[in-house]
Parts: sequence; structure tokens; C-alpha cells
Amino acid sequence: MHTDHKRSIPLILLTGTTAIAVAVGLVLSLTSPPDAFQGDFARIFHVHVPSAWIAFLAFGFTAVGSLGWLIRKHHICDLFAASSAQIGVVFTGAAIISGSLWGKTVWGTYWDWSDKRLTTTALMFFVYLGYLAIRHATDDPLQRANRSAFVGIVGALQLPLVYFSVRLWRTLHPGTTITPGNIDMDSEMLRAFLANLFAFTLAFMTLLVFQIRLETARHESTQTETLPAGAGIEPPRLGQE
Amino acid sequence: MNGSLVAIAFVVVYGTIGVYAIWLAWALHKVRKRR
Repeated sequence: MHTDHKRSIPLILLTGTTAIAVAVGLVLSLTSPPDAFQGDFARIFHVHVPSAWIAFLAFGFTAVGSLGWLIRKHHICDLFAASSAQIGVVFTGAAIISGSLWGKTVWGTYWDWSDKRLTTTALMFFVYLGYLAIRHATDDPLQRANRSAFVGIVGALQLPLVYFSVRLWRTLHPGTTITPGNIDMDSEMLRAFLANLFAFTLAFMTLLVFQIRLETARHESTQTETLPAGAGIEPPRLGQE
Repeated sequence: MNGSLVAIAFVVVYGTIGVYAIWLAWALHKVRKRR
């Protein structure tokens, strides 16, 4: 019990720091000055871009975990990949919805299939939904890990395409606003954006730790449930009484 | 209408993170209780 308490202290600290960071990010987003051209609509940038960043980070982690599974065949690699993919899908959904709402205010439309960034992001969303669906298609943990590891690695091949789509094809979606050495943004807006980027990254890390704990607990309970009938019963010791 | 779209975007994103965190805590509690 004492050890459990000691082990949970870093997790409590991480969760508390995340809650504070998210609150600070929200306050800075709402109090930063409005954009000269887009006014308050530009505030969506503070939640849209960090959500998209987390999607890339999460799917990158999924690829690393999938590769780890294929090399080491250790179940924690598979659980890490699956946990990251699940969070990635949630944040991709958040990025798509917030982007659509921003698009409506700036472009006058929620969605445009001719835009390559929008289309490739939607494709990425559905590929990782497929990844999660594959995990529910079989009860065999080995088969599940092998199949999803394949999708986790192949799916990551589209990440550069999604990222560079705004450079390869000039359509509705704007190009990269912030690159190292070229920051075209007001200092207060930049501070709010960076605070949110940090808060979302912390939130992702916290959710990932808890998601891995959940998947591990589920994995362990499945292992116990799938023991062969009678495995826990000792045979009678005849002639020893 | 456009002003409310900004509010909806914030509610959707922060709400998603919040709901996901609550669901995760509930699911973890449920699994541990069953064990």
C-alpha cells in the first residue's frame, strides 16, 4: 500500500500540472488580442493546431509501438501503440471539427473535398478508425497485435503526406504559419499558442499513461479469464491422508 | 452565428479532452473493481 502510494505521486503531479496548464492555455487563448484580419475567429487556431499536432504525435507513437511489437513481441509495445492510436483518433476528430468551424468563418464552408489537407486528414482519421476496428475483429491477442502493428506502420506512411500536403498543393488550407526562424505572429498570440501547445502535449502524455494502465488492466483480466477450464484446481492427493 | 462558432470550437475541443479523461477514469475504476 505504501509502495502504491509512492508510485502514484508522479502521476498525481502530472495530472495536476496538466490541469493547470490546460486552464492557463484556455485563459490565454480567450484573453489574447484578436487577429487584425480574422478578429476573434483566429482564436480557433489555439485549439485547432495543437489538436492536429497531438494527432501526428500520437500516430507517430503508434508506429513506434507497432515496430516495437514486431521486433520484441512484448505485449506492452502493442498496448502502447493501441493506446496512442485511440487518443490520436480523438484529437484528429477534435482537429477536424474545430477546423471545419474555422473554415466556415473564414472560407464560408465547413468542408471542401478538393482541399488536399482536409481530404488527407479525413483519410488519416478513417485509417486509424480502421486500426481500432481491426483490434476488435479478433479475440486472439497475438493475431490482434500482428494485424494492428501492420496497419500502425503502413498508416504512418501517410503522415508526411498529410503534413506536406499544404506545400505540395496550394488549395484552401493555409500553409505552415510557424517554422523555426520564421514566426509571423504577434507576441501575445504566440504566447497563447505555445501555452496551448504545451498544455495539449501534457494532456496527451497524461491520457496516454492512464490509457496504457487501462489497457494493461484489461489485458491482465483477459489472461486470467482465458485460463483453461480447471487450471486453478489442484488434483486430489490420494493416499496422503 | 459566426461568433458562436468560436465558442462551439472551444467547447468541442476542451469538452472532448474533459469527457475522454472522465471516461478513462471511470473505465479504469470499473476494471480494477472487477479484478
